[in-house]
Amino acid sequence: MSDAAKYKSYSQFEEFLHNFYSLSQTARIHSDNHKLVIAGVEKFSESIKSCMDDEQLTFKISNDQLYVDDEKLSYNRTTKNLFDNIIRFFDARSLEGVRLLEAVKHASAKEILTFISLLDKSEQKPEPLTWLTNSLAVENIQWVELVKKSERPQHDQESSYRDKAERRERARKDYTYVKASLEEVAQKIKDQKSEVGIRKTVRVVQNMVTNLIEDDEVYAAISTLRVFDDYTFTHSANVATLSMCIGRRINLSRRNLVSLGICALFHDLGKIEIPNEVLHKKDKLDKSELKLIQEHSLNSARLLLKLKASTDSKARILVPMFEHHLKYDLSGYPHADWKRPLTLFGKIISIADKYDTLTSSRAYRKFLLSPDRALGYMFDRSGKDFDPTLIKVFINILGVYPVGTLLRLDTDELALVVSSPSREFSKRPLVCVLTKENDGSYKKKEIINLDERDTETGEYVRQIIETYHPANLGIQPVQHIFSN
Amino acid sequence: MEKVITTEQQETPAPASLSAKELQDARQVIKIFILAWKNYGLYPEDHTTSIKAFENLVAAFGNFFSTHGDLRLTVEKDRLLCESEIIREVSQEAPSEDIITLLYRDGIKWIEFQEGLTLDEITSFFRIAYKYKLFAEETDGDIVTALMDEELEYIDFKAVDIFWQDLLLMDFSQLPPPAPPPEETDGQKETEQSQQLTGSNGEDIYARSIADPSISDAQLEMSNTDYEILQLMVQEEERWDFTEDLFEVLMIILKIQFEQEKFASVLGFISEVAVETIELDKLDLLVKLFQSLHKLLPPETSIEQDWKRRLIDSFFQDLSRPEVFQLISEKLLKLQTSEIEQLKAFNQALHYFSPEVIPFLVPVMMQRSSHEIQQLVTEVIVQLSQRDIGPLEKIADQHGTEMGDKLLVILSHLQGERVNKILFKMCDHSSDMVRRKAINELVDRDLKYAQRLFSLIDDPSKEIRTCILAAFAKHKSRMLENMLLNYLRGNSAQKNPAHILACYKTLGRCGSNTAVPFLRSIVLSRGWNSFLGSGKLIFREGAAIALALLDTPEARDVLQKASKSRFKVIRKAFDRTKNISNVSGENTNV
Repeated sequence: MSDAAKYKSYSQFEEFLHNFYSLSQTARIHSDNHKLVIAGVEKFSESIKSCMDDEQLTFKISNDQLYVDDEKLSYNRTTKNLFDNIIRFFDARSLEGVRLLEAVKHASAKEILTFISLLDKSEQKPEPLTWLTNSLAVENIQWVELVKKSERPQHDQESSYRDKAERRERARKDYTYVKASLEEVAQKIKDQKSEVGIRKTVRVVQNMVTNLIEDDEVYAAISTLRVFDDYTFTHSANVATLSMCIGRRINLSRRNLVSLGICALFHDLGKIEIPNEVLHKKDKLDKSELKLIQEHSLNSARLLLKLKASTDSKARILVPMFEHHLKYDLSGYPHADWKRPLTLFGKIISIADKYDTLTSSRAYRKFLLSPDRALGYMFDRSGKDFDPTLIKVFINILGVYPVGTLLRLDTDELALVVSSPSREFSKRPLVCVLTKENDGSYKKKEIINLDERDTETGEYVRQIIETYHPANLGIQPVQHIFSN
Repeated sequence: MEKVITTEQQETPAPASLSAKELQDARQVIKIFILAWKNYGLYPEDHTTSIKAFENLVAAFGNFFSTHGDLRLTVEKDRLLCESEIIREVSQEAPSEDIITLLYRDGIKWIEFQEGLTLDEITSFFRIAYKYKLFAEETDGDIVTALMDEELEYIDFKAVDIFWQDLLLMDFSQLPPPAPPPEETDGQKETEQSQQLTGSNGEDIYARSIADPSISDAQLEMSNTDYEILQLMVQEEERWDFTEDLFEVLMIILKIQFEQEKFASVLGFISEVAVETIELDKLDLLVKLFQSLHKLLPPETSIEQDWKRRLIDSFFQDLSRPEVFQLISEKLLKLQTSEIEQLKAFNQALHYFSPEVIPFLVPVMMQRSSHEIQQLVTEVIVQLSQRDIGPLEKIADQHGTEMGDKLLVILSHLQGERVNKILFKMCDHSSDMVRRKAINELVDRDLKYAQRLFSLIDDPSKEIRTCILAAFAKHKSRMLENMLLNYLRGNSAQKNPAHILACYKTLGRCGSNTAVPFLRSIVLSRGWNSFLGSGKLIFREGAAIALALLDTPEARDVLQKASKSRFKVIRKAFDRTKNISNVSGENTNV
């Protein structure tokens, strides 16, 4: 499905959820024959019909995210409250979700109201799910199936895994291609080619945008990739990926997402003109070397001009390239007496760039921040170095324990964050336990949810003691996150 | 509806049975489609043939949709299929230009035309395919990227990867472990980081975790205000007018370029943007850019940076090309008088262009009635012509009456031999009005030109004859006086009496006592032939008038004698002077 079609579906799904929730609230207050309730039922029925392409329509919560027919719905300003309410609504009834079967299209208003009313009442019952299942049977409502929390049907889980695996594979492909396209462009520039086409880059970034719209989490995860000897290219690919994730979350248009991705991918193009001995120098840089480093954003912008692209496309991404080392308060470099507020792209890329830099090992830097500390560091500089709203967005995307953060648990286990629900800043992500092998490598063990509580005491089973950067233990996060 | 733009994750649906009717209809649509494509290559988009072809195509699609629904076509090498049926094979005439070849070349696996397809969409589709008709290795995109960018609502397609089939995907399991940070280093590189993360003694500064309890959820949670801010940011980005920022950055980049090639490359791009700036009517920004570029010019004495001067000069030279001038001309023609700032900006910007722009500005003067715009353009042309009169000379060779008139306004502000030469040329113009103005301008400039123009005294055009005499009449001049005397002494008896009278009057205006003896002889002559030829009454009267206009004691003395003459004809001549006694400011025309 193209993004345009997806956007259309999303808005239909959002409308469906809105109608569902608003009917549940209206029916709670008013009698069944109240005009608001009648209108609510009609709207709900209509939205079911417009959303139900197949024989069923499932809406469920997984990892604190709302899915309708396996499409993850994005939080935005207008949907945030609605989604939070629905998640709470389901949580309170120990429900993971509801599956409506095709027969719902022929359900009477009375039946629909009965279903809504039972759903509502189940909250008060000691075992809401059992009560609701029985009640639905008594009322002979056969067009609804309840998706139980942590008891998802096997085929559903399998399909979800398969889907996830496909998405990971797509992300791996996109990442490989996007990096390869950058390498190719850089090589052509180095070879002094008079014209350097960007057709391949545009195509792969367009593709990446399409896939990222569907699932940005997997792209945020892939950006944990770190290759020391290939820093410039992996860094650029990571910055592009993270920038597009931010752009996606703030609802940039598809076209602008592509521009942002290309801009971020080429943001360090100027570094190809810096000799490796300067780029990887461990000792303090002398004045001229420092100047060379600090001019790289200007040189990136200059080299961009060599690319074969429309004047308009180049013009749009040139300024953010220039800005990517300028801070929100306009300090930073280049020292060009720049007085204009940073562009949105510039602000986004500077955040992605900084995050990736802080969490990457560099020859000249003795510190390496774990992802959560990098976020803390950046948060503490929001309003000065970074746009405060965009920093919040970024933290909301990555979560407080971003994917790729290494945790030491109170069980003495070492765990790698593989999924970090950002909603309400859950400090209990999904992790995979890593065990050290004899050869010093780490092996991925089971995936556990740190949200899990002891059934008897109600206490969390595991607590986080400390965070590390995976590099400190020689761990390559993507190796584990992207393995089955 | 499925709009697909993905790499290989979706497969073409398995072939379904296709009715004979559907197959026939699909073939018919594609026949019209191919015809429209051929026409698109032959005629401009707005040509009636193209328009008709597109209308036919949209109608054909419409018919197909109403009976069979959307039309999905599978693109294979050299052929197009509808489900499993071949409905079109690549033309053998020019296979590389066949649209099927182009779609296949760029990796389109299937394309679907959907109900609702509009003329605009189909035109956009053809425009895109045509733009990328020729294969180029180094290009900004292809049919797929352009279709993705265009996001056509009723044309769906699936593209497959055509670039990276041979590339091995990154194997994450084989990646080397990331390097841990070095134990100790002698210093840091990125000063900004070293300042922030390392204290003055080189110790690490603590960075707290974002999960630190000191950071509350509320601090991280997106508020409604945050969402509003974001929405605004996005809206601003969508409508961001980057030109000003762009120019500023480009100038910053340019300033630090000390290598000719790099400097030229940046300047080349600035030139592209400058043209777009004109297109977008942002002349004020263009002026700023030009000013900044001028500031970059090295001192004349700087030999080592002479290349910079040359490059900046050639930037302006390059910008001074016919298509840019045409654009400027079009913009000026559309400009409203009320757009004062734009007018000013145009005025300033145009001064930076080469005088070659002049031929494109003159028509603006002719087509715009607005005084402000005419004044602006005149001012600019005058200033540009002061740098090089050449372009104006060329126009002078081929102008019509109206343009000639405007040219004269411009020339009146210019000096120099080449300008005068143009004016002389204009004295031979087909339009009497233009000639008249050119004559006046020249005589006003320098009386010496009167000598060159004197022959016009016998011009077949009465208007010109009158004009030249009027021009002479404005000046007291010995030269003119002599020329007129010679003229009148010569074989003037054959001339038109009115003209003769006008010549005398002019002599009276520009002459002196030198002419008195001659005039006296005409007025008072009494020989046997004094009433014939130059002795005719008209000559006598003319001479008397000339004397009256001279208005010197000697001239008055002659007239006195004439008034007392016993010859009626002489007295009559004197009587004619009575009507012009109020000499001053009198029109000397006949």
